[in-house]
Amino acid sequence: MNSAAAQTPQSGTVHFGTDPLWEQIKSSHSGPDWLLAMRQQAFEDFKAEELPSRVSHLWRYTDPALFLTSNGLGGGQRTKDEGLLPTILQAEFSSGLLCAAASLRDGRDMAASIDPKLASAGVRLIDLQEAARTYPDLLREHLGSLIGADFGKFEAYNAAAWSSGILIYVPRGVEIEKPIHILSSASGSKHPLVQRLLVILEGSASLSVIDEYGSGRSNGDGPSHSSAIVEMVLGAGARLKYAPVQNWGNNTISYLTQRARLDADAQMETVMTTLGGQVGKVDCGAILAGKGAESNMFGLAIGGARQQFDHHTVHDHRSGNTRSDLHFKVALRGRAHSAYTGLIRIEDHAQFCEAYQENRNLLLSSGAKAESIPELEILNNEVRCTHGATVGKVSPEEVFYLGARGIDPAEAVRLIVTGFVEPILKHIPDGVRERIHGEVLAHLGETPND
Amino acid sequence: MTEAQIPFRCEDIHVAIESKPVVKGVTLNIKGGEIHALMGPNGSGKSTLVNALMGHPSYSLTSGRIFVNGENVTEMPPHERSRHGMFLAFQYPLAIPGVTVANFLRAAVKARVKDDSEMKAFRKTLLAEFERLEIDPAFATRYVNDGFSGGEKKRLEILQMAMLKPSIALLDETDSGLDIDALQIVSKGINTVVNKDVGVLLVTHYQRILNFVKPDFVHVFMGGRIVRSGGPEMAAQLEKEGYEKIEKEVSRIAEVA
Ligand SMILES: Nc1ncnc2c1ncn2[C@@H]1O[C@H](COP(=O)(O)OP(=O)(O)OP(=O)(O)O)[C@@H](O)[C@H]1O
Ligand SMILES: [Mg+2]
Repeated sequence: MNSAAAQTPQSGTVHFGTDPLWEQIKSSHSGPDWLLAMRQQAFEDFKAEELPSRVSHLWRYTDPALFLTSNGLGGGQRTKDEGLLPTILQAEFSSGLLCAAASLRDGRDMAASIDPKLASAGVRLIDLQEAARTYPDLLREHLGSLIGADFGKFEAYNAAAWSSGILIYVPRGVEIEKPIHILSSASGSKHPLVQRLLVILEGSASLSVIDEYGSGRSNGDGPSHSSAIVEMVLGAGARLKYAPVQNWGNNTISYLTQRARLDADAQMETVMTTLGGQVGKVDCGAILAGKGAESNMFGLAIGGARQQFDHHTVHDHRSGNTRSDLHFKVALRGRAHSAYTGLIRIEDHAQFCEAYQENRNLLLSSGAKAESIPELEILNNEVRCTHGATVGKVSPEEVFYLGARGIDPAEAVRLIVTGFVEPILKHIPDGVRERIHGEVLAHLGETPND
Repeated sequence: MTEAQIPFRCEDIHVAIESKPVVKGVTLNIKGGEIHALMGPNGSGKSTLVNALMGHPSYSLTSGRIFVNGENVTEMPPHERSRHGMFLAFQYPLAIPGVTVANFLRAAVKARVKDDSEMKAFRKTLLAEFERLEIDPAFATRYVNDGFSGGEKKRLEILQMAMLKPSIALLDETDSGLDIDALQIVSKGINTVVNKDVGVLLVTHYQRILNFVKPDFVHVFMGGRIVRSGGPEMAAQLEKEGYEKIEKEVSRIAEVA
C-alpha cells in the first residue's frame, strides 16, 4: 500500500487529522455516537463539495464565499445553561400567549418552558442532541431526511457542525391552539451560529411555531454568520403554521434553509419575515407529498441601507390534487437589494394541482433594486397555475390622496408601506404579531434611506 | 365680513398639464355658508381646477393665488392646505390597499390635532359619523376604497369630510354613481357640514343633487374658464338646454372681442 492510498478515508471512518474545525465540532458534540458518525459523514461532504459557482442555480445573486466562516464555531463549550428564558419570551409565556417558549442563546443548550398539560399529552420540546439520545429511532428517521448533507455545501456544513437545536414533537391528534415561540439570539458574539430545528407532527396534529432569530437591535450585535436548518414533517391531516422571523443585527450574514414534507391532506401556512442582517439568504419550501396537501406561503422582506436579500421558495407538487399559494412582498429603502426566485414544480403524474405565486416589490428609493424570477417546472397539463411579479414605487397619486387629508408625505409613505405589508403580517400568530409589527415599523423608520 | 372670515378665495388661477394650459383664469370667492355649483362639459377642466387648488403635484399652477380663511396657501404642499381647512372629495377616490378606513382616518385626524388627548373621542366620533351617513361600521376595518362600489367610495369621501371638518370643501362629482337613497344621505352629510364658517364648491353634471343641496351660485365652466355665473335657476336651465347655447354665445363674444 502506497502512502497516497493510506490517506484515503475508509467508509465509516474519517481521517481529518488535525483539522481544527473538526476538532471543535467533536469536542462540542454531546449527542450519541451515531450522531457523531453522521456529523463526520457530513463534514466529509462539506470538505469534498466545491463552493457553488456564481452562475449555478440559486447562487447568481449572492456570493457563496460570504457564507464561509473563518472564525470557528460559536458557542464554545457547552454548558448546562442557566435555563432562563429571555424577558420577551418569559413575558409572553407567563401572560398566556404561548403554549411553550424556547430560547437558544449563543448556540448553547436551550432554555424552555412548556404548558404542563401539553407535556403530559406527549408533546415534546427538547434539545436536539438530547433528543438524539432519548428518541434515537425518531431522529434517525427524520433528522436530515429533508435537508441532508447532500443538499448543498452549506447544508453539509450545518449537518456536521450544528451546536444547538430543538426537536418539537406533537403526537397524533393533539391539536395545540397557542403558538410555540423560539428565539435564537447571540449576545455580542462574533462567532457563527449553527442551529437546527426539527418539527414532527403526527397525523391530524396541529401546531404554530414562531421561529425568531436575533435580538431585534440593528446595532451590529449578533453572530458573524447564522446557519439554520429547519425540517418539518407533517403526517396525514396535520396542520402547521410556521413563522420564521429574521431580525439579526446589521453585521450578520444569515442563511436559513427550510423544508416541510406534507402527507395527504396536511396543511401548512408559512409566514416568513426578513428584516435584519447584512446578507439574508432564505430557501423555504414545501413538498406536497400526499394527495390533498396544501401549502400557503406568505413572505415579507424589508430592507434598507446596503442590506442584501436572496429568497428562494419551492412548492413541489409530488402528488395530485395538491394546492399551493404564495404571496411574497418586498419593500426596500436605501441601496438595499433583493432577489427572489420562486419555483413551482408539478410532477407529471400529479394531476389536478393548483399553484399560485405572486411577488410584489416596492422600491422606496432610487438606489434600491429588486429582481423577481419565477421558475416553473410543470410536467403535466391538468393543472391550474398562475404567477405574477411587480416592481414598483409609491405612486404620487396615493401620496396626494393622503396629503389631501392632511397626512404629510413621510407619514403617507409609512402608511402605504404598512398597508403593503399588512396583508402578510396579519398571518403572524396572535399575541406576537403586534411586536413583530412594531419591529417592522421600527425597521422601516430606522434604516437610512440613502 | 373681514378677509379672514372668508373661507375661500382664489384669484386668476391658471393651470397647465404637461405645459398645456387647461385652466385659464378662474377667480372665486366663497363665503361662509355659501354653496357654489360648478357645472361644465366633460373635459372642460373642472377636476383639473379642484385638484390644482388642493396642490396636486402633476398639475402646475402657472399663475394665481389661493386663500383659505384669509391665509395664502398657494405655496403650501397638499397636507398643509388640508390642515388649513381645505378638503377635496375626489371624483375617482383611490384605493389604499392594506390601510383600514379607521387607521387612515386616525392618521388624518391626528395630523391636525394639537395633543393626543383630542384623539380619545376618535372612535366615538367615527362611529357616530358612520351611523349618520348610514354606512355599515364594518367599513371601518376594510381597506380604504379597496373593492368599494362607486357609491360606497363617494359616501366614504363625505364621511372623511365630516371627520375632518374643513372650512372649504371642494366636492368633485360626489353625486355621480349614487342611487336616489344614497344621494339624499350624502346631501344630508354635505348640508350638515355647511355652516356660517364653511363654504362648498360642488362640481356636478346634474340638477338632481341641487334639489337637496341648494346652491347660492351656479357657475358654468367651459374651456378652462367660468363663462357664466348666476343663481340656482341656472342649473335647471342648463339641464334643459345643454351647454351648446352658452357655447355659441361665448364664442360669439370671443369673436366680437
Ligand atoms: N394627467 C393628465 N395628463 C394629460 N391630460 C390630462 C390629465 N388630466 C387631465 N387631462 C386633460 O385635461 C382636460 C381637463 O380634464 P378634467 O379631468 O379636468 O375635466 P373635467 O371637466 O373634470 O371632466 P369630467 O366632467 O369628464 O370629469 C382633459 O382634456 C383631460 O384629458
Ligand atoms: Mg372631472
